[in-house]
Order: sequence, then structure tokens, then C-alpha cells
Amino acid sequence: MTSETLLSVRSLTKSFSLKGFSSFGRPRPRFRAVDDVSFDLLKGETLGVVGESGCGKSTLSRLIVSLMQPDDGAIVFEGQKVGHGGWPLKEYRRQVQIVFQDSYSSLNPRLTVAESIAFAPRIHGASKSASMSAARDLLDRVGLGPDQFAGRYPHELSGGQRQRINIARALVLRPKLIVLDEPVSALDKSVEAQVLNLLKDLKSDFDVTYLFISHDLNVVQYMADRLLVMYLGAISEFGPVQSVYATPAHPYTAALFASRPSLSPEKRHVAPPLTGDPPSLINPPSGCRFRSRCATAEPVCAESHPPLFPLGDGHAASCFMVGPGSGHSRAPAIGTTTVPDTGARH
Amino acid sequence: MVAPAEIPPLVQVRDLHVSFRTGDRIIRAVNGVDFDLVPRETLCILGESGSGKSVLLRSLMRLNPPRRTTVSGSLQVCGLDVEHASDNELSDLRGGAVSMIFQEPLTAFDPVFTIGRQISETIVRHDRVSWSEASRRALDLLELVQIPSAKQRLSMYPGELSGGLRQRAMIAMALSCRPQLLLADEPTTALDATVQIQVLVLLRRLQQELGMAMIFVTHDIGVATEIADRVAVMYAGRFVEEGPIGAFVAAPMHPYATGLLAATVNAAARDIRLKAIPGAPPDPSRLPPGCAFEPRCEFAIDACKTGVPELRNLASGRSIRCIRVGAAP
Amino acid sequence: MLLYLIRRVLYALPIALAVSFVCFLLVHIAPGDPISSIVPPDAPPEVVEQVRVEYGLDKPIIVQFGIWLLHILGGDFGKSLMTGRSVAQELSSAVGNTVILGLTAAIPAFTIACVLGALAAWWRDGWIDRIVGSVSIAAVSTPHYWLGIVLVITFSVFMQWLPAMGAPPGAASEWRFEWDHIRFLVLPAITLAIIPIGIVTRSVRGIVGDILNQDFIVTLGAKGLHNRTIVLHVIKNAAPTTLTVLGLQFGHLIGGSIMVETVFAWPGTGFLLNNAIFQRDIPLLQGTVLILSIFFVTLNLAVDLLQTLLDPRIRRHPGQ
Repeated sequence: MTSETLLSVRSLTKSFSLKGFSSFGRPRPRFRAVDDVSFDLLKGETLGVVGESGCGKSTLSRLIVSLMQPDDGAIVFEGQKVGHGGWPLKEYRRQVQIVFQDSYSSLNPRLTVAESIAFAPRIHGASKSASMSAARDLLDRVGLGPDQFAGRYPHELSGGQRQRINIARALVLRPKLIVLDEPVSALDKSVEAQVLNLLKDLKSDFDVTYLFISHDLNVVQYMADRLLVMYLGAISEFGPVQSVYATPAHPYTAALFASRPSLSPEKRHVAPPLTGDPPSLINPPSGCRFRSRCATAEPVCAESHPPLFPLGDGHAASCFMVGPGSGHSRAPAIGTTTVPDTGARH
Repeated sequence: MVAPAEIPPLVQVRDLHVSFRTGDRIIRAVNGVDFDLVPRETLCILGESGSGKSVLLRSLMRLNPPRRTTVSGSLQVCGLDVEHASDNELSDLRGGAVSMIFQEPLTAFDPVFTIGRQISETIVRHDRVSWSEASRRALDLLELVQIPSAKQRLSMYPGELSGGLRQRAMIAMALSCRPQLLLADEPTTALDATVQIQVLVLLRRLQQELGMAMIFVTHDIGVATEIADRVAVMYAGRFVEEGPIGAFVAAPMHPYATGLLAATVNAAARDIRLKAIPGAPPDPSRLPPGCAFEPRCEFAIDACKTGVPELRNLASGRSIRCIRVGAAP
Repeated sequence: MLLYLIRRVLYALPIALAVSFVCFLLVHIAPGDPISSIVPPDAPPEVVEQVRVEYGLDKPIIVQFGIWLLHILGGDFGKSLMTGRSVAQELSSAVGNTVILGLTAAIPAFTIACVLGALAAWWRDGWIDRIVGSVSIAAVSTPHYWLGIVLVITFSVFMQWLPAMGAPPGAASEWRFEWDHIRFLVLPAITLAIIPIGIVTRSVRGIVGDILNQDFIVTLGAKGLHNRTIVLHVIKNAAPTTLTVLGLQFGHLIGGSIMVETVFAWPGTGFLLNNAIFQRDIPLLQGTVLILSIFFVTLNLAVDLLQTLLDPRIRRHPGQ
């Protein structure tokens, strides 16, 4: 893994308004699904994105693959802005592919799996025979014998096999980045392991970079090199996987990890780490968005949204408790960077 | 396997088979399940999609579609022979002594009736109290499951609550007539991680306070570990292993259970290649004649193909359906 | 909620205006000169011109429309060219007759159709479902005029049980519970109802079937509720969509009355419209078409509002 940057996300913001009629001059309620998100994706790494429903991870993935346009901010790919005189969209979309959670609805039910895989090369100008042989080659690479599977239709396959087809289809144009949006969430545990192994193998074979989105902390810990934790559209914590898992700096990250069911009946949870559901995006709390569920919130947290405070080694957290001189009683003194004990770890 | 003689079992299932007709195929969902459940006990049924775990749970209340379902074997639930009970006896049981919570509370609630009304109608049905009395009890129930500002929530529609609150309301509704047995069909699968653990802790507390027994269906070993006294692993419609949760998690015995635990990613696995179980579960309309796991099993021998192994009771209070485990070498 | 109501009514106004303009225009685009039906064929051109000016037919179309609309708003629909009576007078008795016929057809037909559709859905794939399915397909495929004629031949000509055509003696545009009165309505009402029965039955079967397939039906069973309570839940869920179907089908039924009223010589709007067309009675035609259009716009609006009122999810957040 080099530390060369493949893709940069700069102050990305996307808001949506609620559907329906506006009532006489009153503006429709809008909410920010992704709010001022910036990070770098390094060539060859797997960046994990975790968070609960409504945290903006799926919107982020659609913005990155250009299925949606941001309201504000930019995506820079290999040093060049995407769209508007930079990367032409067609070429960018060839370089950046996506695999969705629902393996069935993302395949055309009327095409054989080989035709589905060969579709993108045909669009990009390859001959029919070249596309089909590329498709057969990829079927082989994802572990589905081409002689047995090429002529089948999506409904004749199991969920795990369909997800292999989606992965093959994402790889066929030899992209540099694949966004994996909950790729194993719909699969059974025994099949999930097969697909995770396959993804790891293909990553080195095809020299691709992964943006791996999941709600399953165990899966992300297994797959990712670095981790991005999101809450209500903003980044709460960012850093190398080992260091974030070992010493979560943001109370939300700590609570999220602590909410994982134990794998030993002696270590059952006595009390849940967090109470309540994530608040509605339409009416988020002022200041720090996690404030309303945070056990260590103080008046300073209501004033403004905390910036990402660096903690060393590329680890950063958006919490006043780690910001030197931020005004929070647990904040370190100016000039020091220590990870505070968030108290929610097990 | 069989409960101690002094406590009569709350649930007694013997050689239960459930199959469905769809077109010209026969789906064999449950293929010979036996178990007992004593009062106040929590049994987790652990299985993957298509293992028959939800069908088994629903058959305890005879909730599978009546015209397409064929059931054989015996089913005693809270003293009622569920398969031979009259419709009236059955509907007295449902929501009374036995109640159920579901995976997706959004679709499990009627969208056009308020939460309060849906809880109250259960109370009115079983306890024959007035609507105002039922509505007062519904408020108590919402407070019991720790729903904040419960009074306002009573007049809300299911779509107006968050996912976690909806599942709490669903639990409140299930508890409304003080059931002896709560059936839970993956009740935390659709919830976020931080909400899931809240609901699990709540369910465990309620189960102890109210003295209920619980059958909890899940695909997640972690969830089973948080809530179960005993666990039964289901594969292709049969229990393949059954026993106390602690012993099971520490050392699973059946090759499928071992494989499932090994395939579950956890913190320790990071740089190790996952040990996946090859292949996929069998088609429930074309089960192999022998052990259903044999085609995927690395320990399979020819004898595994000839007949379905018996569920053998081991001395440790565990039981297992495999001819290779615990047999003489 | 009140704001929402007002907004919906305001939205309906331009639609009504546009519809009336289109109706007005269509009459003018149609070939033939209305003057020719008033003046004798050998009238001198000066006389024709004089009549044209008298009726305002010499002005530009948009001006004619404006004048016409102003009159209408003042309640003046003009005079019928055929009878010389005021159009408003002609219309009021015709509308009354059409409403009587429409409701006589719709109320029993929709009731039967809803019950049949719901029964078919409850016992889906059973014998009731198969019979109801075949009957409703047959009903949908029956042409009005053919059925009307067959009914007349059977019940009027051969059996002589019911009158072949016409309205009850005396004041037609009122409803009386007397066999002498009702017997005139039986055949046209049956003819009118047959297609909507088929469509409503099939729609209700679909609507109720979808609801019965939803997860919450299992929950209701798991709560031990009696079937009668479950039926109540199904009705409340099915009501808004069913009502939309009924509203649209009532519109279709009134549309069908143009043909059926002509076949049975029932003096309603359809019969009037038909006469107006053949007689080139433009003021009468315009008045009738306008009333029918306003009826359809109002019907749609009423259905929308009623649906909103019935569905608590929309009721609490109208327009979202």
C-alpha cells in the first residue's frame, strides 16, 4: 500500500427536501444527508465507512460514484476534479464502480449473467466477442465456472452467487476504485465469509481500491485498513482501523463498538451504552450532532459543531473532549494530544 | 433435552414436520423437530435463511397459511394441542398465553390505526375490559417498555415512530395480556446496532420480571449469546445441535455449527483468511436422503449419505445430530 | 387541514375553466353551421347574417367564450334552439333524471361488487374466487347497447314485465318508492351498472388481496383477534383506495349513460346531449357538456378529499 491519494472528497454536501406540496410560501423542510465531509482515499487501501441508518453513508457512496451530484464541494480523482472540465463523467464512471447490497434488483432479470457482465464493455466500445470472453474470464475469477454459469439468469442463482456476478460486473472495466455498499449485508454468515475472502483476493489480483460501507463493525474491522465513522451526515471519527478500534476517541464510536453483542454469555450487557434512537435529520441538535445522546455533553457542545481534531497517526475525532483548549472540561491542555477515556468501552 | 420431571413443560414439540405446497413443488421447511421448553426459559433458534426457523416458530401458533400447509407430529403449547384445537381455543391462546413479536415492526403494525388502539384492542379481546380501561393499561405498557412521553405516543400512527420505538411498542403489545410465552422472530435484525442492544437488554429484563418463557429466532450468534439460556442450531428444517448457550459458544460440536462460528468474522480474525463453509444450503424441495449438511461437510463419510442421523443426547445436557461427533473413533 | 382543503379547491378551478373552454371550442371546430338549423334552407343571405348577429355568432371565438362564460356565471345558459325554452330549465330536469338513474344503478351495483370482490380476495384461489373472476370478466366485456337491446327483447317484448323505454308518467325528475315509478328504471340501471360491476369487483379483489398479504394481517391473527375485527382492519385499510375506484367508476357510469339513456329514451343529460348533437342545438350542447364537465371535476375533487379524510397518514400530514 502506497500513501498516494487516489480520490479526495472536499467539503461534500448534499441535502434533500421532503416530497410533496409546499404549503403556500413556506419552504419545504430540507435535511442535510451529507454535511461538509472531507477525506482522502489512498491508492490500494480499503477504507471502511460505518454508521447507523440516516448517517449518510449511502448518500456518500452515490455521490462518489456520481449517481448524484453534490450541492457543494468536489470530488478529486487522481488529481483532477470530476466533471466541469475535469474528468469526463463517462470516463470517471469507468474508473469507479459500485456494488450494491441487493444483489437481485441490481441485475437485469432478462439478461444472462454473461450478458450482464459484458454489457459495460459493449457500451464502452468493445466488440461483442471480446466482451463475452472478458465476461467468461471474470466469471472464472469470481469462482463461478463459465461453462456452468454463463447462460444462467439471475433468478436461477443464490444470493451469494448473484453478488459474485455483481462483483464481476464491477471489475470488468478494470476500475481503480470499487465502492462496496453493504455488499454482504443480505447474505447468510456462511456465504458472507466466502464473499469477503473473494473480495480480499480480487483486491490484490486487480490492484483496486475499496470504499467498504457497512453497518457491521466486525466485517469492517476484518476488511478495512482505515475507518470513517459517520453520524447524522458528518464524520465523527477517522483513522487507522487498529487505532480506532483500540482507542475510540469519539463517544459515539465508543458506544457503537460497545453495542456489539458479546460472544460470551458471561459478558452480557447489563445496560445499553446509548439510549434512544438517532434523532431525525430534519431537526438535528444544534452544535455537535451527537450531543443529544452523549453522556459527557457540556454547554460548549451546543455552541458549534466540533471540527476534526487530529490525534496523531492520521487518527482524528470530531469531539471537543479531544480538542486541546476547546472549552470542554475533559479536553486536554493546549499542546497535548491524548485520547481521553470515553468510559463506554468494554 | 427433556425437562426435569417436576416442572411440566410449557411447550412440547414431538417429531414436527411442516411442508408447503407451491405450484407443483413441496417445500419441506421443518423435518422432524423435537424439543421441550420449561417456564421462564429462553431458547434461541439459530439458523440461516431457509433453515425453517421462522416456519417452526409460526407453527407454534398455527400461523402458517392454512390452505397450503401440511403439518404432522405433536405440538403442545401452554396445555393446548395446537394442531387439533378449535379456532376459538386457538384464538384465545394467541395474544393471551402466547404472543409474538416480528422482525419489521413497521409492516407488522396496521398503518391506519394508532399504536394505542392496536394495543388496546388486544386487551379488550382477551380480558374483556372497557376501552378506557384498556387504553389506561396500554399507557402503562408503553411506560413498561420505556417509551418516552408515552401518553403522546398512544395517539400516534406506526409510521410516526422511529424504528426502535416501534419495536418497543410491538413488545408492549405482545406483553399486553401477560403471556407465559413470548415468540420473537428476529426482533432486532432491522434495528441499528445501538438500538438493537437496547431492545435485547429490555427483553431480557422483561422476561425476568414477568417470568415469561421465550423462543427467540435469530441468525446472529451474538444476539443469541446476549439472550439465550439454551440454543438450538437449525439446518434444513432440523435441529443439528442443541444445548446450553455457554457450552455451545465455547465449543460447538456439529460441523455446521463449528463452521458457522468459524465463518463469523470477529476482532481476532483480521489477518487470517476466513474459514468459509463451501457451497449453499440444500433446496428444501429436494433434500438429500442422508444428513442434509453432508454435501458441504469436510468430515463426511459414505455412511452420512444413507440416512438422517438421530439427534443424540450427550451426558453434558447437549444433543447433536451427527454420526461422526462423539462416536467411538 | 383547512388550508389543504382550500388549496385543492383552488387547484380545481383552472381545470374547470380549461375544460369548459375546450368544450366550447370543440363545438365550434365541429363541421356544419348552427345557423342552418334555425333558418329555412332557402332563406336569403341577409336574413342568415341577421340571425348570426342576433346569436352573437359573428364575433371572434374568444369573445364568444367570454360572453358565454359571463352569462353562465349569472345563471343564464341561453335558450335552446329547438324548444326555445331556457337551457337551465332543460338541464335541471335532465340532471335530476340522470342522477336518479345513476344512483339507482351505482348504489346496488357498487355494494354487490365490493362484497363479491372482498369475498373473492378472502377465499383467494378458491371456487368463489374463480366464479367471481369469470363473472366479472364477462361483465366488463359486455357492450352497453347490446345488453340494453337483449334486455328489452327478453323482459319487455317476450315477457312483457317491464317497459321497453321512457320515463314514468308525470314529474320524472323525482324519486318515488312506487313500483310504477321504479319499473322504468330497472332495465336502464342494469345496463348501466354491468361494466362498473365488473371493474369494481376486480379492483376490490386486488386491493383487499394486497392488504391480506401484508405482514400486519399475521400480527392481527397472532393477537387472537376474531375474524370480524380483522375484517374491520381490512375495511379501514381498503377504504381510501376503494373509494377512488368507486369515484372514477361513478364517472364512467355517468359517461355510459349517454348511450344507455339514448337506447332507453330516458330523459337525462345523456339523452339531452344526444338530441342537442343531432339537432345542432349549440346553446343546449354547450350547457350540457359544461355541466357534465363540472360534474367530473367536482367528482374527482370530492374523491381526493374524501380519501384524504379517510387515511389518517395523509390526514395528519396533508400533501407529504
